[in-house]
Amino acid sequence: MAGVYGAVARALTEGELVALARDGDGDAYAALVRAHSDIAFRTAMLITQDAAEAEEAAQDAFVKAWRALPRFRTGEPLRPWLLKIVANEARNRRRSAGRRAALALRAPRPAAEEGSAEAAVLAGESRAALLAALGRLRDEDRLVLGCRYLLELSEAETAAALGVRRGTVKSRTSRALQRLREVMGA
Amino acid sequence: MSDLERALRELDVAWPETPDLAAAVMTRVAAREAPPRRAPRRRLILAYAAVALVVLAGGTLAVSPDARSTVLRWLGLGSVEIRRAPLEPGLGRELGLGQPLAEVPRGAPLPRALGTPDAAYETMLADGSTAVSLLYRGPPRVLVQSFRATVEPFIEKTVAMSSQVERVTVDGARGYWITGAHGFAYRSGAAAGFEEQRLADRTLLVERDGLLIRVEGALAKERAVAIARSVE
Repeated sequence: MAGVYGAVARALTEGELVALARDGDGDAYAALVRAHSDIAFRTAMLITQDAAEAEEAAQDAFVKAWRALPRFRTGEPLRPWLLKIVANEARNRRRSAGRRAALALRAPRPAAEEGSAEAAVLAGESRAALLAALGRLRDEDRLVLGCRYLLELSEAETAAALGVRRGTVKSRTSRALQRLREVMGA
Repeated sequence: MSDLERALRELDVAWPETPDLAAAVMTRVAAREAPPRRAPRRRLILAYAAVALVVLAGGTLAVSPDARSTVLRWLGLGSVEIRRAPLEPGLGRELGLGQPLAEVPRGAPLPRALGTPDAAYETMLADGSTAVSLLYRGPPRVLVQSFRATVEPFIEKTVAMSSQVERVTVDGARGYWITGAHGFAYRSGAAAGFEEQRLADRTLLVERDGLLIRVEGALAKERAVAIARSVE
């Protein structure tokens, strides 16, 4: 029927969004920022240990990434590239802010409906103890474990975020786990 | 993986809420950052299927060709491109569950997790072929359909009509958990069709060996996945 229109829609792939953003399409870039906001903010949070610093670091990183998009190699995964920029910004802020006392992250309250109240408290305590032990590790150990297990980044992404080789991620992870065991046992 | 690694992975950290970075970043970018490249480059040519997504319902959403951003904001979807296209006759109409069947035909895929359905229907697909729709009265009421069909390339239309779509994997098969759904578009043979929601606004779609399994009902995702997994 002539003159009757509907909306045709389809989700753009990340590669298409990147291509549009490189051409200056702000909507496309905003979509990419939204898609990667959580992981960027949390990575920055892990490094700065401060929500306000992490927000500024992530924001600065996304603005820098926008300017750097022409240098992004088409076809490469975007996330490791972004995380590298985010982690750099976060490290710069952390250096200027000085060393912080403790990991500001906390474990959530145990869910009341799961098992007995006692079991829930115990589970909550062991989570809190593990997180506290993680907070007592030196930065290098805490960051590699945080990237690999809290953020569940791949080895390649962790390597990009920490600015080291993949092999280094492997060896650091294994050493950091050993130190965490020692801290937990102490 | 050691127990310690597992414990770390299951730590479930209460991260602070992620701030709205996109709004802040785009304000800064728009205010003083030049776009990365000015050279005119061919905009990505997007291949569209001829099927129109029907956001009909009395024309609640009017899309003008240049109103992309507005429409996307209205839909809450920044990563979907919408444009006008002529509607093809017959596409997008509700197909209905079809004819009630006395019993489930032999060989029809059945979800073991739910057992024998309370009712079965023969549903006509867009290409004229038929599929069996199984209704379980519950509670909760659940509809299970298995089509010789795929949701690609039309999953994007389904996404555009839904408030949230999550990719899932069910025993290695690709799937989509869709909430706030109005229905989904699919391809069956040479034709494409659109199925409306009937029971609830939640649907799990799983594509397995050319079979599109759809589980609809007021279900938790895990339950819907278990039901889809048990279809054989």
